[in-house]
Amino acid sequence: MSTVHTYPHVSPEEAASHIFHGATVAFSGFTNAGAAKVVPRAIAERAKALHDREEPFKIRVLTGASSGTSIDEPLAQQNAMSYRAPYQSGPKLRSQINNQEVEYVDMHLSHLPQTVLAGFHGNIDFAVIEASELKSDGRVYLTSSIGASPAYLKYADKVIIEVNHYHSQRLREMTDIFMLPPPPHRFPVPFHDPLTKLGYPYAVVDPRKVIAVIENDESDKIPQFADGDERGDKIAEHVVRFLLDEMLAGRIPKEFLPLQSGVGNVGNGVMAALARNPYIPPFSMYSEVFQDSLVDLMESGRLTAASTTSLTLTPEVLKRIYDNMDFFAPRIVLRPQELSNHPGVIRRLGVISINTALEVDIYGNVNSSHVFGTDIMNGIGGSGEFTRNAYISIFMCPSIAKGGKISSIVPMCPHIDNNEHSVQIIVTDQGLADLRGLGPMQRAEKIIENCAHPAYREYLWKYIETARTGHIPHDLEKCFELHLNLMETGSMLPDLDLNEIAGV
Amino acid sequence: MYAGTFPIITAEEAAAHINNGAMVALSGFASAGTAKAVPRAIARRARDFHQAGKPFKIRLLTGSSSGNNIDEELAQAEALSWRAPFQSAPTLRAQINSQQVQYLDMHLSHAPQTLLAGFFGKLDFAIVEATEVTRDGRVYLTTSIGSSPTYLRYADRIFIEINNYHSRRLPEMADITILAPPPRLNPIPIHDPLTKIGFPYARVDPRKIVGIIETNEPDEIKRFTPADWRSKRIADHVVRFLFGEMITGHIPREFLPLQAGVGNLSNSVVAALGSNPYIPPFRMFTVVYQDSMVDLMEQGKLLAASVTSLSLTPEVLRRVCSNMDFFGPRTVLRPQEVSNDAGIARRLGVIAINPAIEVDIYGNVNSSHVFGTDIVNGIGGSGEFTRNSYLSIIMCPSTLLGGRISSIVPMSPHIDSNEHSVQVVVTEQGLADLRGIGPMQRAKRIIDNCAHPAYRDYLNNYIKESRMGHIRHNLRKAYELHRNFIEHGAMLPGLNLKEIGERL
Repeated sequence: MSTVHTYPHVSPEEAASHIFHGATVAFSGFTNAGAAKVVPRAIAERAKALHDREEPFKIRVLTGASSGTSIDEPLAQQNAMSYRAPYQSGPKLRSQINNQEVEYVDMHLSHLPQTVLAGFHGNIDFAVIEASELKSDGRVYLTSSIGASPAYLKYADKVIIEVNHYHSQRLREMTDIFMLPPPPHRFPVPFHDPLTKLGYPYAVVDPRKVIAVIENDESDKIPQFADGDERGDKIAEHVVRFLLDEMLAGRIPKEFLPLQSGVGNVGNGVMAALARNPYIPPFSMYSEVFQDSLVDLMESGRLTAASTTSLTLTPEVLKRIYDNMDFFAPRIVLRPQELSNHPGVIRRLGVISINTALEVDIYGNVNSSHVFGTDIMNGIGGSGEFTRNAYISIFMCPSIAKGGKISSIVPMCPHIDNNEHSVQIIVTDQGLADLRGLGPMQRAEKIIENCAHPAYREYLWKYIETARTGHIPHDLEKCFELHLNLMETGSMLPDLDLNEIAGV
Repeated sequence: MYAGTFPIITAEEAAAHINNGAMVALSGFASAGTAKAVPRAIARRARDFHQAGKPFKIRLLTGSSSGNNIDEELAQAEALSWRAPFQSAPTLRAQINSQQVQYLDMHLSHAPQTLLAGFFGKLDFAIVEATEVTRDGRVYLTTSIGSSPTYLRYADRIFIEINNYHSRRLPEMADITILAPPPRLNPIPIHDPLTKIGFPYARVDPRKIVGIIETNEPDEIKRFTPADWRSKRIADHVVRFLFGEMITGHIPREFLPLQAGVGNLSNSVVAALGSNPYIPPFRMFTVVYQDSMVDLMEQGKLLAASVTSLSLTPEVLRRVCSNMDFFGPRTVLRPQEVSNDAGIARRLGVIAINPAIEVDIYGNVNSSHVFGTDIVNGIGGSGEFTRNSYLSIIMCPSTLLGGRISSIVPMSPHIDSNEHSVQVVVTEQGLADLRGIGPMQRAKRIIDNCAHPAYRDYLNNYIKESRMGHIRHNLRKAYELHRNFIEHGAMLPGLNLKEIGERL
């Protein structure tokens, strides 16, 4: 690390001491991958010390996407945040948001660099960015995620770099960093393939802005996904069969189309099932997160290429990649989130998007973020930009939750992240509803008959029968009856015999 | 050119080919360039069949709305069973809302791609208006491009209406290309609203042409009513806001391309921008070329326009066509797949200005369904532009029907563009800039700046009595205003409407 000697090397505490009450701080990290680690902890400790002395200390926090364990939780535990964008996933922070203690802006992720550039989040006082190397001329080699770090490095007043020696120096072989100029003089993003590169392996910072460099050797804190369950397996089965049929009908070319898959167990299960099926050809991904299951698929030759903005991998799996860079580096591109989630590229490549929903209404509107329309889970993340611009958009959820107390198919969603105009396919463990080319009533029939749990079908049909007629029948008095029942009695239909449901 | 090559037939002879259950695609976008004689003959044929007690209904595609020319006549003859992707005719609207016609309300740029991919099934006939068709199958379209190039390629059998009313110089504006199916390799190389990448004509396999029908008839385009005081005030707010954005550097000095929805309100905003001496001459990357834009172009205020239709009243269209040397190089007519392309709108940094039926206090917009049930027209291009623009603006008057309806409501019962994509809301009361702020902060701005004063207490109370959460809602009362209106004819029956009148 002979190149970092020109910068002030300090302790995390010293770095944190620069951060003042009310500051806007942008951290690296898209999921916990590539997240700043030691400085957020030091800021949390600083908050605790100041709060103990009854001095106010809250900061405004930006990241690439969620960075629960590394950033959100330590800061939330110390009540150190007043504002958060564009995504989060920490339990403590979640409850602070839902109590209106923290202002949270739940955003389309590709918008972030553009809105930062335009100044909509205010002045960025500090950027705290994890790197594998910082050159004296200001080249910053990022680690396991790119996210919005290049924009933060450019627009922050002052920059703190965490040089993390845990990460492979060869990560830069996957990295392709380019910042889109402001409109209107933008050229088309010249991606022809998930693997096209057009930029540089490093981000750039004005070296005079770097006020502190901290060294550490910590791995990303990526939790293991739980094993799939039976409902997840059934969902995966429906998706695979559908995509096969689409290929046979000629609506998906024989070479297949690039896939995007949301973060989580169900998405993971679908990818694994697609890969297991011998009739699905080897495929590529244009997605935002590269997860554990994809590493196996790439090694087995089923996944030929992946474009992503983060390597969200458990330490053991990440190590497998680091140990075999000759194989993985030419097959993976790590991009800024503005490009990994770019609407134009998604549309052009004809991405098949596969995302999970909290609930879906009978007309195909999807709630991805707010339980009861009020309580944030995580956020919309990339699901909106991929669903809206995909060639085929698929949403998945189990038909029921909590042993049947909750139906994921409801008359009306109390929050809509993706609407009926953009959602094409709904899948539950019960089956799949292909909504393309259908009007609202025809969609409702498919969703109720194919996707809703049988125990809830009668209720949903009755809802339509007693609703006000129209292009989309609704009863504005009863549309949230299931949600209200759940809030008040703990069950959407309190009279249902849950024992009977269990087997279906 | 076509004489002697293709049979010249009457509209009745053409209609005689079309049978019950056929899928028929017509040229036409926003009533411009619509096929005219054959659809009317189909309506007569339907009536004859129905009188003879025989069934006759067709499935109908167009570019977008075709108003009285097609939709109204076919609907009155009860000749439609299925309709996509947009409509705006009163009788058809009523049939859709009483579930007699299945209506698929789509993002307009999706229509050609969805058809080409086979999601709608087989297309039996296309009836396309042209100024000329050549022996080798070049079809020169008239005042709109819409989806006609795709319909010509995909339909089994074709009728061409040669409309001698239209200028033969219209093709000078046309730039026609059909995007390759995904994963298509090349970015759409449009760097500016005026970039041309295709041909002045669409192509058809000449063997598919069943016959040519000669007509001589102008498009039926309604004149806009003069702006009322509310539209003027809304326009004032928008102009002042955009000027402020330019001063603060959020919009470059050369300005950004504008998109504006169809209708009186959008028309008056564009006119107000054009007449303001501090707004520089600008370009438009939009869907429909409307009357007001012709004045602005002549005055040098509108430098360039990319559209898919010239929806101009006959006198104004004559002004354009008789001065083609001036207008031709400044206007490009594109297929709707390109005029509304997600990637180009994002790349050029379009400022999207669209009207709404209602907006909820958190910024979710209903553009299409009154009470969530009754279709008005459809989402049209508003979703794709709002979602992908650099700056998205949604406008509506704060009240309707003399104060009986508030356009600002607790929860929208149908959501076309959601809080994640809507950035600025404007009513005659004022403007709410929602960028970079959380839901409760958005609610405060929308209520204080945009809601009519007579409704502010109600809206603030709604929040107060709501369940705590990231987005506060009371699912029991979320639609109280809508239900009041359905039952009592006023959202707040106790309001003194006279007082509202005075306060305005």
